[in-house]
Amino acid sequence: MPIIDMEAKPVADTWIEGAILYRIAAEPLVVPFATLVELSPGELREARPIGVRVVTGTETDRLFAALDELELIVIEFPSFRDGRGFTLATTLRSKHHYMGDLRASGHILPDQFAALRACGFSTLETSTSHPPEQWLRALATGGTAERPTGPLLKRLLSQGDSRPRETLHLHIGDKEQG
Amino acid sequence: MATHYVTASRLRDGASVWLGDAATWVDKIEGAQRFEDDALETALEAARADQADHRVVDVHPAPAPLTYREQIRTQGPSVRADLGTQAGRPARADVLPPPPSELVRSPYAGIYRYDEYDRQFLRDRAAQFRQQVERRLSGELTEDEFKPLRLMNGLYLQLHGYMLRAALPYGVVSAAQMRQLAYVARHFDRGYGHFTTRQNIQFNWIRLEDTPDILALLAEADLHAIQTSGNCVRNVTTDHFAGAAAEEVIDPRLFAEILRQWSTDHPEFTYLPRKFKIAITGGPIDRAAIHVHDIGIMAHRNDAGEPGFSFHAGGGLGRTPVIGVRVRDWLPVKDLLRYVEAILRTYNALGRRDNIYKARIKILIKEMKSDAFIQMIEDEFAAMPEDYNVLDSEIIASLQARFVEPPFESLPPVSASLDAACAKDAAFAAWVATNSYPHRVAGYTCATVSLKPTGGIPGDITAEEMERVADLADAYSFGELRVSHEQNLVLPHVRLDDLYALWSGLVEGGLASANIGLVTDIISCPGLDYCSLATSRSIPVAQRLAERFSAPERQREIGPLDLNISGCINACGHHHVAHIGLLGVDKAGEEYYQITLGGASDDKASIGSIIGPAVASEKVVDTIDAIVHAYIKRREPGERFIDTYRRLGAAPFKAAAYAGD
Ligand code: HEM
Ligand code: SF4
Repeated sequence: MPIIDMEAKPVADTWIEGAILYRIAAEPLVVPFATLVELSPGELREARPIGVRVVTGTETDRLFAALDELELIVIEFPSFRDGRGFTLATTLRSKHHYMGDLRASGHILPDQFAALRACGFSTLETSTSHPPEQWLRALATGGTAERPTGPLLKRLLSQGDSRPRETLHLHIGDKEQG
Repeated sequence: MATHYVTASRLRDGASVWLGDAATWVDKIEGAQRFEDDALETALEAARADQADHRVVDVHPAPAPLTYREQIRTQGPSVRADLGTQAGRPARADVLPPPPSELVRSPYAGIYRYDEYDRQFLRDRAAQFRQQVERRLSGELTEDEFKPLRLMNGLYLQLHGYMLRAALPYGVVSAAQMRQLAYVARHFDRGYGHFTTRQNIQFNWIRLEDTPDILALLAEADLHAIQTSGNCVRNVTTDHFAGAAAEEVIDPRLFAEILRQWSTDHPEFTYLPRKFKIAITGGPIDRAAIHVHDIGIMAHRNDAGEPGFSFHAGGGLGRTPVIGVRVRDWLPVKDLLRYVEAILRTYNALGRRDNIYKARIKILIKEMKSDAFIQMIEDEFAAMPEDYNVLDSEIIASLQARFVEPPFESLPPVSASLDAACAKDAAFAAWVATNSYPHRVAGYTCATVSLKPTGGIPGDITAEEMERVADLADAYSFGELRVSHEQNLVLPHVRLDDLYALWSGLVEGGLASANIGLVTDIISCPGLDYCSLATSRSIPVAQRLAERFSAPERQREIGPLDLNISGCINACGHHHVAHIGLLGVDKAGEEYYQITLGGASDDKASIGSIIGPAVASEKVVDTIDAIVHAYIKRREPGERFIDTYRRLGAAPFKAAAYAGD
């Protein structure tokens, strides 16, 4: 399904999901987390450009160790009610300073657009039941954090910050895109 | 052979409907059809097609004869015969009078003062929900997808319709806000609301399509229903005497407000494994039940006189009641959000979702050992960037500036007119003794308005009563009101000289029950009269108990006694932490009540113990009476019920309770 960025604009997607074994050329490849953990640091470096798909709830320590080699991390939400993906994204960005593409996938709702953005996602994979138009509409009706409004505390906390952060939560600036 | 009805709730207004002839839905059971086993599947299929068409939700068969629960769905709440299905469902009026929000706001009430940005945020949220409701009605969103969104806006589907739960943040309400709530009750509900143990108000008869309008009206009064349900950080609760109690160290309202703003729409913590409850108290006397919350915060000062907090975590009631463990003795004010966030992050990363009953933080702590959990919180806390979410003194001052200090007069600490009125009028004196609490400012007192009249429904209040207390608050309490977790109202700043006039106004409105803290000041959840999760009714039992103990002299003779009732294991009525707790259970279709003794929600918090087999509904009142008798017979001078229980244990009470068996 179409990939969009956090402005709901379409993003050209060159990533291919698959197994390393059948890789033909050095096309950008997304592997399951189970594959990633079996690769040695050397193999991992050789496999670049490489991304990984993580389902929330997975034991993620091994992921943190591999961050430097990963161009893309896809976080898959088994259900939109499962908010662990938000904490995983926040942890990747703020604690581990992951700079690559962070993509939300699986069961996510346009109503969660602002939250996904604020937690550091940079792209997302739309679905048949929630195609890009719906995300665009969510954006138009104030579905993002791109507002100077909101409760006083959030305004104050974002003002005082040295790092770019538009709400109380962290915000990823342009440089990390891509 | 068994026959079944087929029933559902109508999407638009949540009314219970029944499949009648020719695959039409009817409102009344009289027109419903009974299906033999062989025809049931076809009927259900037709009904589910309507569900797929987004006309009804929750299609299910109901075996005939109907269970107790389904009977209540056919008739309406048993405690409100006037509102049964027979009364019909009033349509919304075409033209409504202007809402009170267009009139003056109470200028001195101790609510957080919104600015236009704060207010716009609520308007935007109401507009967003309007769009979500439209998408639901058009079928773009399935019920599965819509449910968490409506829950995030406080909208539940109950037995007879939608229930809207609006937050009354830390229990502070201005007179102007109370009038707005009265307006909602009158024009969008059926003339009343229900105050809960979590400083919220619930309206029971809401139409789905009206909800955006109601949220917009609440927004104009700086009120909202955000995060009053769903798996998010819920309305932060505190002491109902906050900012007024004589023994207070720090006013917790400011920090409850900070937590409210921080948690509102929090991107990371809006889809938690389970709902998450925080309570904060500002002094050594715990009136906010902090030991039975996911996070309980107590404000105090350190030896240097600086304000800070101690933390409990992992408490809760429900299916597995747990007293929280102390996770930190001291935290400077500036780190409040950082530490709370560290707890939540740990919880969100770890919390199990495979079984929602196991997902509460209390289970996590239990399974992990508290030391390991505390260590994880501390690690998360230590790893936070050091300028992240710091509450520096400027931020605190900016928020503090939004709370107005009422213009207290300087008054003598005693009032001659009050003493004279007490001497003259014994009923007034009795009310003063139970319903007032010492104030930090000389010449003032906190006055509690009991919502527990004999024969009434605990916590229920009519639109007219809301307006009356709003008027009295304007006249005698700087336009400020509080909602207590005991489901009563408080006028927090009343001049001692005005107490008699206030009482007279309450007497006129039938609101002067002198029973605060006594046996008839019963906390009760709505139970099976309204709640779809209930296993039995709680309100009728509360009413019968209040009737039995109604004589004022008898109540006063018994003295302080907490009696709480829940209609199911979810424990919304706080029965676990009552001196005497009642939990309604279903035994082969009959209502039974399990009795627990020895619970407490204050600084000596404890979970009550079950004393024996559950008691049949018709025996409950006699059994409680016998337990109370046993206490009176054995108590030593000055001992409250709970003290006697702690001294003697359960045995004498058990013996009294089951003596007739
Ligand atoms: C009528 C609609 C209501 C529904 C469907 C409902 C549902 C629930 C559920 C499912 C729980 C258990 C949650 C858990 O253990 O995680 C719960 C807990 C609770 N509810 Fe309600 N409730 C309702 C009304 C009320 C009312 C009217 C009150 C106050 C009188 C209330 C106060 C509470 C409190 C204090 C808890 C906390 C128990 C704990 O700490 O685990 N609820 N509610
Ligand atoms: S305790 Fe049970 S019956 Fe009572 S309100 Fe809560 S969920 Fe409903």
